Amino acid sequence: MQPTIVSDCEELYRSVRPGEYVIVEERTIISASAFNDRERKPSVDRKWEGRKIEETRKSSSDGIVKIVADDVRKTSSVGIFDEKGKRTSEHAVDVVHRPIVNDPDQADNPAHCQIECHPAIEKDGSFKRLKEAMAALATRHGWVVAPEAPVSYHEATK
Amino acid sequence: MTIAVQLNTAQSSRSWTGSPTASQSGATAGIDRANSLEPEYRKLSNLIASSEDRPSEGAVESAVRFLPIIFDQSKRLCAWSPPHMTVSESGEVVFEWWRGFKKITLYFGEAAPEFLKVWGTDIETEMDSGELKEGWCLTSLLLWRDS
Repeated sequence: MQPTIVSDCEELYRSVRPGEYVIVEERTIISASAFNDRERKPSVDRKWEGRKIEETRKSSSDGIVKIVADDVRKTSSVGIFDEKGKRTSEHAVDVVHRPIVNDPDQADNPAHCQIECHPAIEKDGSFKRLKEAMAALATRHGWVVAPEAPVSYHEATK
Repeated sequence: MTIAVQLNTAQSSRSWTGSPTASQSGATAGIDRANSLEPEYRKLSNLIASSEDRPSEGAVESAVRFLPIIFDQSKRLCAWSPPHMTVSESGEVVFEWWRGFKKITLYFGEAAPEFLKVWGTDIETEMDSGELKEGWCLTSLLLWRDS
């Protein structure tokens, strides 16, 4: 399967586990840890024909949040330039379609995308900032699919 | 708006420089701190016991050392608010506090603790980060959050 460009208006979905959010007075705040990723490229799913949004989550206790591709790209205003000093069309922070097909270690997921930092801005601490930005964006939209048994902040702190 | 961490500066009876009031002995303050931090130590234990995303030993040691420091400084400036506690993909213990549109995140790992100040979504212009310096002095972070 050939990857396709993720357009700016596309919604992207991320599964959020218990402990990766807090609920205060019915408002859900997403933790930066909801975007943890060992490869520093958090996975999100785009809408895909024949695939339900609910398939993004791994457990019914997870919720699903959304971010918009254009908002992700705007989290960095750093320009990427070629060797001639001309600004390229690449984004410092981008959403890239990385479909998973026929992988022996993973179930097929043609909707799979990753949030990636351009190597030009990759440095210590930039991924932590990226997670903060994604969490803030997700918090703005709230749940797309709420967890089946949301855990309030006070219960989670016992 | 009430958020995950609510601060009430009116609760503090301590001076700006942090010296304890004459009416509270060091022993009482220690007991107060131990009692107040018991839930946080329990949360750390839960993180360690978790089968996924377990924090490193160094991260836990760093977080345990830090907790009473932030507790004392918070009490001096305003009031103690327990952090939301998680683990990063690198095994760091993570503390988060929110107040309106502002957020403080602290990372405890094998190296020196790090802080992040967040007030928006632009990773260059609406965030600040660095090592916690000056003996982990958090006064400036707490004041910024409450300003």
